[in-house]
Amino acid sequence: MVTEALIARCREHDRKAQYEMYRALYGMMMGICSRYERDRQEATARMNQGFMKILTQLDRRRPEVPFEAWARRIMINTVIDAFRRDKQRRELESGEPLQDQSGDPQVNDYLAHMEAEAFAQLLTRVPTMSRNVFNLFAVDGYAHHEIAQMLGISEGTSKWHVSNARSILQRALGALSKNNQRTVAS
Amino acid sequence: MSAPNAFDEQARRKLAEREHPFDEAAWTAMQPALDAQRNDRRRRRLLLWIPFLVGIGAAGWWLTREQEPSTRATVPPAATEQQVTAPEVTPVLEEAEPVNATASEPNALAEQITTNDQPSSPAQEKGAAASTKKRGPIPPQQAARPITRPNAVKPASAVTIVPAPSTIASISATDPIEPVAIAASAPAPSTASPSSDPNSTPEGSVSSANSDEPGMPNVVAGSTPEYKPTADVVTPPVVLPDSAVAEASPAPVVTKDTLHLAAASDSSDYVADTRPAIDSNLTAAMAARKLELSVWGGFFRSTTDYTGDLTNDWASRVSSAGSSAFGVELMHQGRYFGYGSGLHFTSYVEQLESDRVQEESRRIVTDHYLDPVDTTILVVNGTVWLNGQQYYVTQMLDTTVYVLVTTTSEEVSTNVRRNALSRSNRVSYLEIPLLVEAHLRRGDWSFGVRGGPMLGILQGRRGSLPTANGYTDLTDEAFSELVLGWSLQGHVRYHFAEHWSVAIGPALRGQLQNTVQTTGLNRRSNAAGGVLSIGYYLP
Repeated sequence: MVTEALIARCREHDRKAQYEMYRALYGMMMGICSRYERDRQEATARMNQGFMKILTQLDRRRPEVPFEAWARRIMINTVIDAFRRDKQRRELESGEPLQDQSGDPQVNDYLAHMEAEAFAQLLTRVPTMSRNVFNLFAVDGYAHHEIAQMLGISEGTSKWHVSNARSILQRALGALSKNNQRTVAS
Repeated sequence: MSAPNAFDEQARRKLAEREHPFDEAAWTAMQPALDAQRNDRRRRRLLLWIPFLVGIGAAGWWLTREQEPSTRATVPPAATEQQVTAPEVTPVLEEAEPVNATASEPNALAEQITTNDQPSSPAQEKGAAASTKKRGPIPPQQAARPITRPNAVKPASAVTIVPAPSTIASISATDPIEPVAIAASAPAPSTASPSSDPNSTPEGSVSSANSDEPGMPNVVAGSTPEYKPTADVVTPPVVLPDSAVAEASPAPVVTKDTLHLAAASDSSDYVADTRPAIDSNLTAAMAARKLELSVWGGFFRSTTDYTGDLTNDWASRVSSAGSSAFGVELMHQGRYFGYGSGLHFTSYVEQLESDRVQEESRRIVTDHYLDPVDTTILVVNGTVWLNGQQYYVTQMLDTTVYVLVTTTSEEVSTNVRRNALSRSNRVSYLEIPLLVEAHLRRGDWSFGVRGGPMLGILQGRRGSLPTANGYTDLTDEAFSELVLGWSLQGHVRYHFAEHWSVAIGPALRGQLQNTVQTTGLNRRSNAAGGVLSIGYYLP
């Protein structure tokens, strides 16, 4: 729990307080970064970069804004900024929206019962751009026009990426579900 | 906001279930970035101070340059006295046509001193009237060269002063402008008083040649530069309204030598030409008002006091230790006082002796064991009847029996919470002092005290502090980046060259604030020692 007293100590550059805050925010920060970055080392590096931004921008935070929400936003912005800077990594996929199987109860049921870590691994198979857009839209709750602005793409492209990511994930989940049924039957 | 979607919602929930246990390695990777940020912050702070220090230096330099002209025009009391007690002589005031004294025509003003003040007293008015008469020719050898003042060009009251040998003129003014005494340095055989006969001046002098003319003043400078007209002598007051003269304090004295002024167009030339007449005391006074740049270094014995609740469990002793400091200071030095600033790099060192901290637990332990005892026992194997008597059949058997023994013992277990440690802690600061100095100079030696408040900027720290269960590295302690402090330094300074000096003396320095931000812990350091400094007076 990050208290105002802890924040005040961090503003005074108290190293112990910084450590306490880092520990308190670690789960949230790592959760975000590991969703956006495939490699764990890269996720850690991005998380540290974001935490440094949090520390340096503590003075600018308005007290009425909940700290964790503020820190979460900074962390997401850090990851997205890094992604935008690294233009070579940008995958400019586009095309027809894939078939949306979001209504498939079998897939959703399988997803509800699968391991969280396994789903996270599944997410890494999604192309970077689609994964990031899916993360922003489905997990972090950004609207398409916000995503379009953040990533420098059109809203339509953003929608396509979400649909693409969903499609890839659902196909993978469907395949896993069938394999699982076969295993149980045999 | 995104539209709700069953799959998305499931995915979000699933990802939220992930757990990320804290990884110390990530924090270890974070620390260099934090250190870099801290160093960056310090560097930025230092850069902010540089313009400030440059500003102070420039202001000091500018102030010094501004004061130099007025310093040159100032005659020390000793010099004034010397001039006033010179042999008394009689002035000869010669009337001249009003001269249009302009800077562009300095040669036209030869043998004239032009003033522009209107008489403000009856005596001065008489003098002004008298000055309209022409007194006759002036011997070339007695002619003085002009003092030309560009701002003294009002021809209505133009007065020409011609000094003669053995002549001294004391001129007083009643207006706010300082009186000016004009004296000849040549010795006079006789002394004239304000009421004496004008003919008493030596033969051949200009004064003598004109003494029969009425209205000619014979004014003698005494110790009091006051104008006293006699009944039959009308003395024209002469006021020299020159800015340089007006600034001079006390009454500026112009000697015969100093009247050998080239036809100059500004007052700075006037000042320059009067310089030879200034005695060595003035030179010393001038030398005392300069910018002094000094570099010093010294050794200190620093002591650090730790107080607060956290120190209750320390079980440690903190003693003083040797440290060093050095710095550079820029002082604007006056005759007795100075002020300035500088940069000091100071380390406060303390010796920490921590005892081993351990816990002992004791308990009584009861032990039971079987103690083997070798013995021979008699075993009854049976009975027999002999002669109606029953007998037991026995057998001696060597065996070992085990005896149960119960003992009690005290078990002492020791848990070492902290090992003993002896080490030096060092905390370094870059200090910016605001210094004032008082000093007294005697010949080549000067004695003084210099000190003032300082602002210390934390530069580094090394060492550790004890806790109940171990030690904390000083770099992990939250130290204040800025700390107010003080310094006081006495010195004996020897001026071994015109610009150079060397000084030695005791020095004290300390911190006025708690230097750590940890709750329950106060830390404050002081140091005492000696410093050696080399000073250079900027030209």
